[in-house]
Amino acid sequence: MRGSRYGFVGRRALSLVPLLAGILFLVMLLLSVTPGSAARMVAGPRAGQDEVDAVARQLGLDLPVWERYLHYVGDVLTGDLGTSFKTGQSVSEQIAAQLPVTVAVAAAGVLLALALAVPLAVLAARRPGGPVDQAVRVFGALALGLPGFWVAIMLIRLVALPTGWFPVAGWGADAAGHARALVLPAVVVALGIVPPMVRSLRAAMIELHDAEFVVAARALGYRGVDLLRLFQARNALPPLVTVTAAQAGYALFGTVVVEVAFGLPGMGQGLVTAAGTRDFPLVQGYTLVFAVLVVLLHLLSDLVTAATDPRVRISA
Amino acid sequence: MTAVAVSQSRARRDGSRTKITVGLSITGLYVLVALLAPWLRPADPLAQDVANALAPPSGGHWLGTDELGRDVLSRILTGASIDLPIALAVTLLPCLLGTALGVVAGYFGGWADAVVMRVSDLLQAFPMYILMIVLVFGLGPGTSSLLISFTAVGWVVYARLVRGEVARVRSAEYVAAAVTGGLRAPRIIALHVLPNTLRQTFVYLTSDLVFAVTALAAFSFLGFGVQQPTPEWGAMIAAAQPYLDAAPWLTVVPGLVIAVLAFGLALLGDGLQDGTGRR
Repeated sequence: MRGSRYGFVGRRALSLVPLLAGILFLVMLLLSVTPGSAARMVAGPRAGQDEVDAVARQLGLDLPVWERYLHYVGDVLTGDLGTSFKTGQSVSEQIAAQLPVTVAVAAAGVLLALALAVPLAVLAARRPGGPVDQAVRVFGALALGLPGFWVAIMLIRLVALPTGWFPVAGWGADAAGHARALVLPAVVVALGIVPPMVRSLRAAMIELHDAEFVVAARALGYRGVDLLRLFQARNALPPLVTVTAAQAGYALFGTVVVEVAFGLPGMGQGLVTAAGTRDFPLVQGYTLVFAVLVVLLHLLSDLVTAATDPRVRISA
Repeated sequence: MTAVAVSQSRARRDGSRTKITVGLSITGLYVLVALLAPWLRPADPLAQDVANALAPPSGGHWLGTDELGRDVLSRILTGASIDLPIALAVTLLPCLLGTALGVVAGYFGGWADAVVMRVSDLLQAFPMYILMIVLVFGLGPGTSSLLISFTAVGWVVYARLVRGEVARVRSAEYVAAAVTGGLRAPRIIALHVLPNTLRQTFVYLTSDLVFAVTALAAFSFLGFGVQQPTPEWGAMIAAAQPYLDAAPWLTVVPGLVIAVLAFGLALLGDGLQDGTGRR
């Protein structure tokens, strides 16, 4: 099996088990890090001690940590993330309804960021230190410094309101509505991740510029677009995939602020609301799903890299 | 070196010098305002004058007044003495903790290394911000929660950076010489190992400050950060949202103030990055 594609996938997926176990443990511990007891918080300040104890039993807080952990792992594996304290709704159902919005916002942001970052990085890498490179980097510093939520407010006020092209808030009713609702949020998410993407891609392109096989290709007469297409693009792919995955994880955060600012019914807004109302099971659920998304993202990036770069499969 | 290459490297050096100068000037200006705020501000940043609420910019109030009639200019200036120290603290604390853990992991190796690295793997599996929100949620809103959550999450990068550098330097000849010379571990680390990591750490620290400045504002906007009536810039933007139409300056000005500071810090970080020779 050594070196085979399926073997690599299997080994890589297996290596995630301890990580996921650790994530579950951290998420479970959330209930314990809160100052004062979680049970007291749920029961309310005026509840008697009996009531608080009853809530603690209901939450399983009277059990030892390892037993609580086993229960929690069992529940999660069967798809049960508990019920919301406030609404009594199933946490997994609520998250399942919001997940597509968050994934759509993050994905739209990452795609837009790629569309901007790749050409900028290629242009900047042509002449490191030259005027184009410097301009790209000043633009990067500028974009990096803009607070996302503020840009969102400004876009609503200066673009959405006067033109009427995009909804001021909300997710729209049909696919076309969703698409229109995604445009401005995608811009805000992209703005935050383009600068680090350009920086990493630019470095990767410059490294390729001096690579032996590129020097050889240049000596053979390949120039410009041909050189880029035939020799550099293929080899720039692995760093591109890694950078994109890392920034997509960051984009997931970007969605929190963006969803709140644009009133989108996604997990980010859900997390903020749940945190504000101290709805523990919901917060736990969101944290877990966000973490699993990041883990899957990195797995996906490793798999794509392996599929395009045979060296990874052999050495893994 | 060819003429083109020489002129290119000179252009790069000039470019990075300009960036560092501009970045330092902007940052210095903000530090100055933060230090001199009590003398610079024309009015008490907390003094309310409800009869004069939401007044547009004028000679009396250069940047207008907010929903409670407080002078916006005074609040912006005072904000520098609130945002800057907090941003510095939420950047320095993770740096110190991460450096310490990185030294221990890199120098001693073994199980200490294993523990530090596995914990950092685990923390990196979470999107950083989500973990911060959740921690602040667990600890309750406020400045101390921000400090704890930024530190608990942010040390990872510094630990990895320092650990790698320490592990690399540890086998270097001059460290081996220090060991045979009879120096003890703490002295070797302080005198011979840490200085080699400083520059990289500092570059990362600068870019981390950019993040801290915008993140602090974002946390206030989400309701988890510095609480009213403290004139923190992000909190000011959050409070101004119902008056976006009637008094847009309440939203525009603090946002620009944050953006310019973050831009200055980002330029500084970019210039310093050039200086390290890393591309």
